[in-house]
Amino acid sequence: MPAGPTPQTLPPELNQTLQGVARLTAAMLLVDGDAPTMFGEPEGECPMMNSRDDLPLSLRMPLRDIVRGMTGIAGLGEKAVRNVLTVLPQPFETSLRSAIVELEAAATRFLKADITQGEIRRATRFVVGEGDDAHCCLRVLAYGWEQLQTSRRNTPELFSETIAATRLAFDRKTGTLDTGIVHACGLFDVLRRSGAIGLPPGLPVQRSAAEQAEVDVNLFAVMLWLLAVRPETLVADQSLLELSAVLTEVHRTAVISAIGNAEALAFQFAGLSEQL
Amino acid sequence: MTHDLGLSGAHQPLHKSAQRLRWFVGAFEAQMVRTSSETGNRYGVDQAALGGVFADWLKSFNAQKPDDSADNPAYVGFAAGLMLRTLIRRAPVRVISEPVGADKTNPAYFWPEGYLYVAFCLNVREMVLEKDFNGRQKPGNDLTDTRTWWSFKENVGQDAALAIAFLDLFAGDKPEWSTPELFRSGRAREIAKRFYRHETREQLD
Repeated sequence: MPAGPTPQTLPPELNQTLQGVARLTAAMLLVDGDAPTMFGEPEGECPMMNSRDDLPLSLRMPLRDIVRGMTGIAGLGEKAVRNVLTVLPQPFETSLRSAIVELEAAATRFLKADITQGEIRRATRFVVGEGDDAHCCLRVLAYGWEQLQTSRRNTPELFSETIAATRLAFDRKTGTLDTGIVHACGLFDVLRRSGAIGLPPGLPVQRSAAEQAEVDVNLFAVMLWLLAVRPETLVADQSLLELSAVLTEVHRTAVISAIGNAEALAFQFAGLSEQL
Repeated sequence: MTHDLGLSGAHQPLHKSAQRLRWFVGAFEAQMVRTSSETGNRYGVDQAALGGVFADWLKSFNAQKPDDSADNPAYVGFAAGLMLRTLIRRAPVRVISEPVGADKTNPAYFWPEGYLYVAFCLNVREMVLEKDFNGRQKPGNDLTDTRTWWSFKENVGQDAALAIAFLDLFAGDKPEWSTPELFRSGRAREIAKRFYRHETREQLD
């Protein structure tokens, strides 16, 4: 009779399956690009990572959101996951932990992939109503959002590019053709009301007024960053995002008071972008 | 103590660049590195407090900006004093360590944070005067005089506004001790005779 697995080893086929799932997901995360379905073809490629031709373009933006959801839930439910792992037999626990680590590492690489100066400039043009590359803008906004979430160690609130794009597409059909700061204020308002920023669905967590204010302040900071004069290097541009958060925090009370009042919000965006 | 921070105004006059947070933070960090290298002091900075310094300073700067362009060079000195006052009030820096056996009669070790603030303000003052107004700064002996530094630390501890007058003193300029927080129009012409080769053509806006 062939010997079964010992208590210290996992059946090879199960181990391979677990690792395979992790590697497959990791490989999928190496896909990038933007869905062309809502606004037409993007102005140019967003060459953040290697592209793969075997995944439909329309799936790439939602895929990024799925990854954000997975990593967000993992972050919030760390305790619960740890409890589940402890009741599993040792070999399962080890293999599952390894798979999760590999998956999280790939997800982090995927979501934290650096953006380019060209993308930031395209995003800036869109924010002031002078460009059509909404997907690139949302990708950059999501990047900025995630950078600030990490550096400020906030409760992880996700930025869904898909939801934001859907709302923007609707808004563009019914909205005006404003440009400049006025367009930026409109975009801020749309994003704020779109439901694109939030906790993963199903989590028993409700946002408090203080947490809503934190979301508003962070969103303002990311958009303020895009409204500022662009520095000459990417490193300087990335540092400018942190300074935007600092400046927004200094003027926190005025910024929060301005939300909901287009004129006051425009005043804050115009004044603070000059100072940044 | 004074030196070029290696920060130019790039595409605009320096006094314009200095009104942006990115320039201010870059210049301040450059000064910290330089002063640490020169003194052996190690400093830590609170970025949020530094942002607050900038915002407070800019508000004060804009509040008294002169209408007469002839006042602009003098306003550079006044603005540098406002910066020193704000840095002392907000205290964004703390010294983490000093060299073993540091001579406490040396201003750099008598008051390491104050020394850094003064160095920063004097250097920015000098840079703006030189690059934008073709002027110059002549720091006097007070800058290295221990008794002056004792007085400086004690007085600004009671009234931070006196930092404006002390910076003038350190810069070799005539201090206004009675109302240091008020900029006096026309002062430029008094000072220009002694310090500046040309007066400005530009508005400080």
